[in-house]
Amino acid sequence: MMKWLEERYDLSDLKEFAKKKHVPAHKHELWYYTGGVALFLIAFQFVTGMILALYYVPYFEQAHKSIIEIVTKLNMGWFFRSVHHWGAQLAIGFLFAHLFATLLLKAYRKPRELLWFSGFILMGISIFFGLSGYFLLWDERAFAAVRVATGGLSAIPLIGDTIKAFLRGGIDVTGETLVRFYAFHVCVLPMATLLLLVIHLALVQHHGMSVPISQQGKESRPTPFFPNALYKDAIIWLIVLGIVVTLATLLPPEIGIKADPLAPPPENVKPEWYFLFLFQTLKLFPGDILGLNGEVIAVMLVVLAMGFCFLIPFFDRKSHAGQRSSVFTLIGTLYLAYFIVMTIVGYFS
Amino acid sequence: MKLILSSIAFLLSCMSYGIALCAETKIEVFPPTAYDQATVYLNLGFFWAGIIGLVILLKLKLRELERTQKMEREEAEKSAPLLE
Repeated sequence: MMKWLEERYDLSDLKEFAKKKHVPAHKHELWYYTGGVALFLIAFQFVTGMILALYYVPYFEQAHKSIIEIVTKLNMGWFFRSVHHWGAQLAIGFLFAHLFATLLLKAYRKPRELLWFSGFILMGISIFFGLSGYFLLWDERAFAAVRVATGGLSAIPLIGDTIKAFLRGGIDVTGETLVRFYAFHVCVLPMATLLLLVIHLALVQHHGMSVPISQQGKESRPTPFFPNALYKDAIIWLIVLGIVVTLATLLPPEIGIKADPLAPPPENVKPEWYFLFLFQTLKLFPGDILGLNGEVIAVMLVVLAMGFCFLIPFFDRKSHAGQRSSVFTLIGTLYLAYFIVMTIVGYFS
Repeated sequence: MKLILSSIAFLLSCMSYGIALCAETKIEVFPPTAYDQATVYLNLGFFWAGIIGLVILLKLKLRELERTQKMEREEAEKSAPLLE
């Protein structure tokens, strides 16, 4: 195969690049693999999503029925839906792990700012992937969760209502919203993901892996990427694939009652786990704070916190200069602790 | 006897009606028959056996690779010219 290609194309540059590519070896190197696992799971989601898209009907009267038919009538349909569900949960989980590892190891520092920005946007896209995919179920819980999630957007001053109307395709969550979310889920978001992934991976190749400031000078001999690190990646991917398949088999996700836009929302409705920290934050704020709308203040604070996190490479001047910055380690730890604590509180409340 | 048989028939019809009601509210998301479930679990076992086999194979390959790379490095260090 290689000989066949080499007779037709000049692969010497590519071979040279593969030979030179190395992965730094130090005690935090395990975190490098979270990005690879997230990439593997995104690819896995593309494949299982394509199979499901062959049978799903994105029309509000048939959406719920088509999912029931996929699960109950299609050969192995229940399995493909289940692996798509669990693949999404793990992909978002590994993306969060990758993001927090990058934040705490200061891998965002100069010259890797663009890597941080592209990764951060990819994280946001993945969360929207999760929300739009959840809504495609068209069951009462997904319906209520999307109504709450999109409704919260109106608390953003000036542009909130426009974004909300754009996402919903109208004033309220209706069949129009389903069509929009389907278009986002199978067309807009995959295209955006592919584009950003190409940029992100090209930047990784250009800059190489970041070595944490605390490990500089303490590294062992770097590991060749081809094939050593690739074999290690493959081992982890295989284990993750096994976990996804096991979860999909032992814990297939339930299908709720078909959504009725006119029915009251079900009691104790909760969003997916990756939204729980936001959901819990909104619950912390009273309706009225010194005459101002509590929800608006909560949403503004969340937007500010996320904006700060996004722009952190510009604020962390010490890391920029190659020095240890304990203040930003503390900030990163606080972000992580807040996310974990609020998710747990939201889950059990 | 007739009374017992009719009572059993009544109970069975009540149970089947109850099962039908439950089936209406809960949608089966996993193969319902015991035979299909056993096949799924068996295949999951085979799948894990395949994964473990592949992981062991890759581990062995990686170890062999690291050994040859180390030998090559040592060879190169030995044959490197020394300054007097």
